[in-house]
Amino acid sequence: MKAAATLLAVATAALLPVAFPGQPYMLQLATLTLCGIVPAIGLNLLFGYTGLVSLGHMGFAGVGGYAAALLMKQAGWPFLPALGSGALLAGAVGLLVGIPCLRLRSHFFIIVTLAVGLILSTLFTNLDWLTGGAEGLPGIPRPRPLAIGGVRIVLATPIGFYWVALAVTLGALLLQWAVVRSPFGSALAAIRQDETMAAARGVDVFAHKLAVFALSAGIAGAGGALQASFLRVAAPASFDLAASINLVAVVIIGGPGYLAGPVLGSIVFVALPEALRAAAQARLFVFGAVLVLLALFAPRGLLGLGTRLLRRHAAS
Amino acid sequence: MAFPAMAFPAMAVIAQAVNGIMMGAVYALFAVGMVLVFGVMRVLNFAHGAVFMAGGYLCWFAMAHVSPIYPVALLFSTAGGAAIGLVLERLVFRRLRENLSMQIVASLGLILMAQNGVLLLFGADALQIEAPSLRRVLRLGELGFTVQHLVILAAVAVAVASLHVFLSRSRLGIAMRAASQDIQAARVVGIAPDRVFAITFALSGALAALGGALLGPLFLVFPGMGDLPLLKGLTAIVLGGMGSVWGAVLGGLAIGLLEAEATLFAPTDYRDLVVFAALIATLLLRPRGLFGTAIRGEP
Amino acid sequence: MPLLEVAALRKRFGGVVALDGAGFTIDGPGIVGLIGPNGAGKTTLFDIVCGRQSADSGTIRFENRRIDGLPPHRLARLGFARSFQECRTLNEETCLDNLLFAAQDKRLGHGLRGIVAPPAQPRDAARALLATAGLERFANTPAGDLSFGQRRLVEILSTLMAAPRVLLLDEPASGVNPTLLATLAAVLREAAPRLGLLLLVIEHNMAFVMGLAARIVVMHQGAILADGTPADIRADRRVIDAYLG
Repeated sequence: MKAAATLLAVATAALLPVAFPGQPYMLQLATLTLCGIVPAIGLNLLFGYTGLVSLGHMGFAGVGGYAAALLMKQAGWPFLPALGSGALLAGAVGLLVGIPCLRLRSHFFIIVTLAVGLILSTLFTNLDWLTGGAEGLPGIPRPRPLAIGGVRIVLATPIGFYWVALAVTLGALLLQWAVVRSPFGSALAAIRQDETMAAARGVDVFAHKLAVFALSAGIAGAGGALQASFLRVAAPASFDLAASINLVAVVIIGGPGYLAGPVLGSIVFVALPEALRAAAQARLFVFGAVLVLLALFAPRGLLGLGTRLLRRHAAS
Repeated sequence: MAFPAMAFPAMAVIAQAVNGIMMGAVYALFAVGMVLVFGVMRVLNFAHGAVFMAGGYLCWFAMAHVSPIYPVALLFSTAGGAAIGLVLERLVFRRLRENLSMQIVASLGLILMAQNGVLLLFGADALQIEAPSLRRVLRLGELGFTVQHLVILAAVAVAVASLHVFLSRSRLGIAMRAASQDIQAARVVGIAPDRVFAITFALSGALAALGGALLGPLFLVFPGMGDLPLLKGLTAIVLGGMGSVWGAVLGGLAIGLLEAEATLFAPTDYRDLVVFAALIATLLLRPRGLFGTAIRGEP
Repeated sequence: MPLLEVAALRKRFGGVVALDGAGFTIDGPGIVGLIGPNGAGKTTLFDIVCGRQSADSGTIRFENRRIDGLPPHRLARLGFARSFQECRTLNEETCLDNLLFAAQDKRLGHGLRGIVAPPAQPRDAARALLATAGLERFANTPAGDLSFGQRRLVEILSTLMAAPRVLLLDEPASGVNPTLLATLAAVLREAAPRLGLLLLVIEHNMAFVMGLAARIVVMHQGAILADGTPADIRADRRVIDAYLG
């Protein structure tokens, strides 16, 4: 049942650009949504499953984005190795940041992640020699065509890149699923629910937090690399504080601790402001009001709300 | 000496100290409001910056349409901030006391509403509060500062001192302090927790709006004017240990001084980076902040 | 070689002395009761043995190896397990998953390898253990939906799933109704010899602990007041005075 639904969703996503031909704007939105899902998956593992809030996570996405941009632009690396290296570097930075910060407790940790995000985005804006400063790094080349047994798949077109983004997103979703059902994932869930108890049962809480922080930063880095190569520019605005806070909102709106939470959250976050276009100037105001209502009435995100309604329906 | 004395003329250090203490006083005012709400309700109100911004707009509106007398405008903004605080508590944060992540989402929503709301009402251009007398420059030897520098210091001093008297002498204030230890403790003083929450938020909103109204005449009034004070205010309450009013005051002043003096040895663009790096360094040495003690509910 | 040797533990909280030279030696597996009036220092002693707190001075040896100061997760891997006075279960997980989590190898490396190759889970053993306590019908119910007494049982069954060498139970009988309590006693009486377990039980319910344990250690004001068989303890004048005083 679940497998069939998943398959159907993947097939729909893959055929989306074919079903709506000649709608470049829709395709652009769809690709942007995918680019938003990947870092949200990283944060979902950290926040939704482990219970650690990071308010600076797009900073790690930026590390991945800039690293991949430099590798593709300056060193002429192909897309995938550049994306992988960006993710690894972001994970390594996450590890370095995590070692001191994860020893702090609750609210202190949250504010420190905010500070880390701000420091990273200040560096992106001001290290002109490395990051191109406020302009960023433009002119990232499109992925080269893929040749599988004589079939040449062009990835440089909007549709081609949509499929690239979809493949990366599916990879991240697969990784999320594998982590969640692994013993590592159960230990993370135990840490979220009761840290003292997890430790008494033999979980090295700090080591687990550090591992998931690095993993989560790495996935965010892959997301940053994907986004930079889609927009063909790594720019500070993509990775600033506002982007980090939005990422938290994406995860929370979708439903933290649900596998599909990042997908739903990202769709809502990209699509809703678009749908509110009719409201023109007032749309961000309305969007803000929607966020407040969600916070009040869907405390575990849209998926949590849906599950609750389903259960109530089944009970009656 | 790490820095040659030549590069640090004493006058420059003192001039930056004057600016730093002025900004630090504004941060302190901002942080005190946040830490009150956090202490009593365990709510981190990220929309505190939006109330600060609203204070700036209220002050501009009062000067332009109600009365051109600045102290009247200050009172108008402060009262308006208290009203905003009451509404926020009643409609939003009272229901979110147990849910940190939804406090973040609600705050984000409120910030969007506030910033785009003023955009719709007042337009995208930054507003200038017409108060030339406040911007008059005073000279003390080589040192120059505006009248508003003194107004800010005096207003913050009065506000913090009154708050201190309120918290230590009045029945409501004592109930608030009791509630920050244990919410049921407020009942002992004979005050319902809901009333404590409402008063706390009203006070916090008043302090934030007062901050915006104080900074408005020096800088411009615009939708994003609360963003930096929010970040500095958060840093201040963490430095101060996330539990004490005096910790927040000292944290705010320390940040104001640090960022002002930082411009003497680092490019201006890196000013905020210096502050946040100092925050992280402090927490590495003192994991509960400079004046922090254990937080309720933690081992 | 004694199994567990606690010697001269001292611990102060500010001006309050919680432990004042408490110590005892346990030679082998079996069930030992730890009783004493409120504030005698029993839970503090548990917290120190399990690494949740550290003592100001004193030593703890497990099979002659110094273990005081080790963090909780290291002790758990040596074979220590505990329940908590306030009862701690994974309330969002089902009862079955609570037991399976307890049984799982918690080392980080093992957990990470499991991302690629998930290990087999002892589902049948977990269901069988739930059945011994009459909880099999709650196997797929979130632990948070159970009554306090049922959660208490799930907590203790979980600790048993990890096949510990030393199990410390902090007031297992409190908040548990008489029917469930009889079940609990039966489960413990069966499991202790089967697992070769040293079971150390803090308890205020005298009937429960005297019926379960072969040896009773009495604490009073942070030190050991008496130590002997339940019959000895019942007859000990000092113990009666401590409880009445």
